[in-house]
Amino acid sequence: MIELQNVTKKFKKKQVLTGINLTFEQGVYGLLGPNGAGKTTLLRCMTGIYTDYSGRILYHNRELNGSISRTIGYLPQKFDMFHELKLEEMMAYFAQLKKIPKSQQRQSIQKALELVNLENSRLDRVGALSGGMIRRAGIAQAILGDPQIVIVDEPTAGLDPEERLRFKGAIARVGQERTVLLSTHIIEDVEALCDKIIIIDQGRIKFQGAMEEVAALAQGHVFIGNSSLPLPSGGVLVKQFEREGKIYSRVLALQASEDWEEDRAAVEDGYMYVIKGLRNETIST
Amino acid sequence: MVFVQACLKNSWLIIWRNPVLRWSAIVLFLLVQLYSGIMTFVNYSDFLAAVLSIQWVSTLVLIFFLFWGYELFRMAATVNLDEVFGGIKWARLKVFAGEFSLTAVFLIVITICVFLWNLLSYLISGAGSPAALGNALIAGVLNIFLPGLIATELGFIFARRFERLTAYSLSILLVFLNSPILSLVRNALTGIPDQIETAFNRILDVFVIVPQNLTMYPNSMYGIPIEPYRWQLAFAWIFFLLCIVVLTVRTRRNSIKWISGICLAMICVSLGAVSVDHGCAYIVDKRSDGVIGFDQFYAPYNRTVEEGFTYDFQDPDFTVSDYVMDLKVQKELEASVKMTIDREKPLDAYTFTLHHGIKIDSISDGNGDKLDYERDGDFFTIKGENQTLPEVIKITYHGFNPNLFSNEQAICLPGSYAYYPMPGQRLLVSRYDGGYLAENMVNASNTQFKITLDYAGTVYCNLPETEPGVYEGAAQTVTFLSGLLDCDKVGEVTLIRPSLREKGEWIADDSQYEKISEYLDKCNAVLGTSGRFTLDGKTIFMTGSSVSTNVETVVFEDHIITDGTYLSSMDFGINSIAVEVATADISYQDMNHDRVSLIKTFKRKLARYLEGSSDERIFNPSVVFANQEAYALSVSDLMNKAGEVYTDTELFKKIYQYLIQPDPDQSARDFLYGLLNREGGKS
Repeated sequence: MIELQNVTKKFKKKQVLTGINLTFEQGVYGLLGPNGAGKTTLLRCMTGIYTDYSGRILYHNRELNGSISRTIGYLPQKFDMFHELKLEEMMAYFAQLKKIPKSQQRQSIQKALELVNLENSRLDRVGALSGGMIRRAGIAQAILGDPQIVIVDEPTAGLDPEERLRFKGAIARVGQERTVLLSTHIIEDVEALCDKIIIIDQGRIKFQGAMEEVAALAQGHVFIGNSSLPLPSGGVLVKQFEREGKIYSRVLALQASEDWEEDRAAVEDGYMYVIKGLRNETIST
Repeated sequence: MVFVQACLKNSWLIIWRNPVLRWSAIVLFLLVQLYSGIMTFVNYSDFLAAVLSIQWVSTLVLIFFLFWGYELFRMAATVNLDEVFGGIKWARLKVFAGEFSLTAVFLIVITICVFLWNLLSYLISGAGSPAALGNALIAGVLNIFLPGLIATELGFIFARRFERLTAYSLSILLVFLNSPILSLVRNALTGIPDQIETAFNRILDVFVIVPQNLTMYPNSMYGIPIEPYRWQLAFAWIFFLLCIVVLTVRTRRNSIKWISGICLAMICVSLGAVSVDHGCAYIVDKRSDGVIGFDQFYAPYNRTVEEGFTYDFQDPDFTVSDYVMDLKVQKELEASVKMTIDREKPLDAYTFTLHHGIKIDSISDGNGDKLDYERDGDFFTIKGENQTLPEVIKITYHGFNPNLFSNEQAICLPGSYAYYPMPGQRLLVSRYDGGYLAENMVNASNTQFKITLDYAGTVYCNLPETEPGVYEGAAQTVTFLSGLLDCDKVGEVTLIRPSLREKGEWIADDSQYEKISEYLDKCNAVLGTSGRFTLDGKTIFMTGSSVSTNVETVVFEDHIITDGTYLSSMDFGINSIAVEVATADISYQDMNHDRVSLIKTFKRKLARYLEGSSDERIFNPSVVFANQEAYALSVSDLMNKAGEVYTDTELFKKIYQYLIQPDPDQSARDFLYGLLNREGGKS
């Protein structure tokens, strides 16, 4: 279990995280939030990259001092490797940095590469790998040493659909035995992979709970109507889509006119419902 | 150990597989070998010149490791691995340690390669001085390894902090500050007031981490300059950069970080503070407080008699019967001297000669009460009222002669140079016919000396060492030499000479000794001084050819000081020594132009005479004495003309007799005219 207690972080005078209280048990968590919400900052605090925060971060009731190499595996948003090395050599480099005993390194690397379906590429130079393969290799290095927690930041950004699919498969396999925290702004990824969701905005936790609960927040407040219709009062446009040659708008509103047809709420709607402040409560105060 | 091996192996893979890093390292390695090889073979006969020229590799190393280090340490950030490393405990440190260690190994390889070229040069040239080889090794560490290490540290810091453009710009600036171009900037400052010049130079000196004195050939006594201040500065930089690295580490243990950073900063500041004091350093730009190998920039030395010396000559009206000195040589000479004055009557003033490069700290009497004094260039006068000056004077001072300097590498304190107070007001250096001549600054009679010298190296002195570091005895003066020197015994003569073989052969065998003795006998016969002057029992101190004592040879009762060019296989050198020994009682004290001209011409012609010149007559009466009123005849011309009247040997004898017993009412020119049976004559 990992627990964050009143974690607050400032950059000079700007408050980036405010009073973050979270608890992670086993499972796959999605950390959702708009750009600049504080997701990456939160992850960096959890991985020990940032140490100048207030509050506490506990792993099994032990405070994290600095970074912990084998308890947490981390794949940052921007990740690459030395292109001149072979994949296996790069993995060995990571294994050595994580102080995995030499006798266990080979097995650990093999297991990690199999999990992400890269075992056939281990002798390839990193420079010859595709972007998606490099991202999956990033997952592999994150799970070296068998950490119980894996944190992944924006894992599918920039990947094509096929690579995204493979990557999601890898995450799913990783998440079967570990706690995985997936930070992203792509709701489809969260829907596909996560059991629970945390919504963060402006440095504060807006929601923490199961996927169904997020959708349930917006239930009764989701409407579909012709795109030419004016938005309901206080309403927020979720998206526009085409159906049978016509453009429709999907909106969130506390209430709407008869021109608008109520629709079943999805996770995306719940997310927007929280982010746009239609829900007045916040998780952390 | 496994961890170290792993880090090095991984770093090696990263560097070797990266074509830019790999090929640039290979190019540097090859350039160093090529340049060192060329310099070794160009200077095949001169070990010191070879070592000196190879030191230029330091600039190449500085440039390379600045830019290479930046690219290497930036690689992790460039491939976006920095954040991953940040998430693994100590990963950044391990990566840095691996890359830095490998870079240091590469630096060590470069330094060793340079030393191996030096070793080859040592063997080829037959330098014959293991101490000089050791000096070359130390110089390699100071001039190549440490600057490379600093450049690597800077590369790391730049990689963490700056984008490429900024980092490269700062690197280029540092290279400029360490290039010979900076000397041009410094030399352009010589016209500004000394204090501003000194302050400006001190600021620039902080950034100079490669040797700046590579354009001047060092003296063979000293070897390659490796002064303490350079080490202090290098380590100040290393600690300063380490301090920056530590303070920028992200950690929750801020107290440890700040304590470590402050400790490193304190070490840096203390080292930097002492490095500002160069002491006696071989800095060859034209700054006023540097050692430049010559005393010629001192204005009073540049005035001729015709231009009007600023000094009046005064024979002392007292003598010093006893000197008790405590000398210490580290960065420069520090001294505490107690003198016992011997006077016929009480005096109001004591005038001494002490080289102007030496700064007086205090003058007091035997009870420690301060005495008033005035300092004027090479002289100082202690003043008292009502003839109350004490008989015991104590003086403390420190400093150096920019020509004959003493530091941790070598000591050059010849007894003919006023490094301790000498009675009277004498000229240390005078300009004569475009050259420089040092006075024979000693008392005619022996003085009692007891000198304690605090110095780490092997010291040679004309006085016996009665206890470790204590030299005691009676002598006309005291000479100290230390450095890359050997001591040979040839017959009855002790020869202290630079251990590095320079041009020619040294008087280190009996045949050379016999030859010089033969010349001396011949000289004595010509002058009628047979039996008075011999080499036997004397010690010959040779200072090395590139540091001139400003005097070709000075002869004392118990030792001779020469600058070494005269002890070679060339006959001219050997017979010059013989002439100097035979004419040791000729004083330069009454230092007027004509007298000096007469002495020098006399000695030169006598040396040629010993050599057996091919000229039928040494004194060649080729000058037309057409109109003595209209022409200004030189002393040499007059001597040649006198050769019409006397034989060579007759003339030598007459001039010699005049020189050792000069008539105060008869100038040298008048004496020569008298030989020609001419009265007066225009000068």
